Amino acid sequence: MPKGTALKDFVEVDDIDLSSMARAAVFSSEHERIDVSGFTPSAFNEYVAGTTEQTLTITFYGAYGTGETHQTLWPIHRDRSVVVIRWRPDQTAAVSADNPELTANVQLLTYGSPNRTRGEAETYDAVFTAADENGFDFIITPTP
Amino acid sequence: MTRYQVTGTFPFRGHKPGETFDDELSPEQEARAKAAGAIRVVKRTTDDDAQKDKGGEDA
Repeated sequence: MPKGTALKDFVEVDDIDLSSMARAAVFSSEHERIDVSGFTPSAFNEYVAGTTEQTLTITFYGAYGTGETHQTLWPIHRDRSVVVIRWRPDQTAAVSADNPELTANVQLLTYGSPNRTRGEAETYDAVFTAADENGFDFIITPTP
Repeated sequence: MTRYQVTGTFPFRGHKPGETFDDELSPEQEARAKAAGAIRVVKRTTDDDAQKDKGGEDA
């Protein structure tokens, strides 16, 4: 697999393809680190994994027209809806081991629009947080 | 089963703007997508939905 440039990412929220309105995607999956160290001659710490926090942050362009980002995302945030989100590196290729799709049932807990500065393109972050026990996962076979 | 038309700017479930498709969306998702202007109901085909839609499909 060659080194790549992020150009063709696929971003879908609640079945609406918002790829052309997104400009960045950052996934974070972090297990809490629990210190279970005991007294040892080496003095090294010992950890086990605790609870897991997962978020997918998408940077969107601000757009307020019918069916655009604000009208799609704000109600999801406002109403605390649980929706499906999908991201994969290449929208022109099917889901595969080389083009894995990150997906989860999520809530949009942090919504950042408007975020406007005179003379600049409006962008803002939407932070999607896993909403059920399944969390985020990468799938490598297309969903039917 | 319901027939929808993609009315928004962006593809919906892989269907391009202007296309129609048959699917069974949850009432909540359908309401969100309609409110966002992403889709409209063209025709409902199940008895329950037909009853629900006696007032007519979306304009």
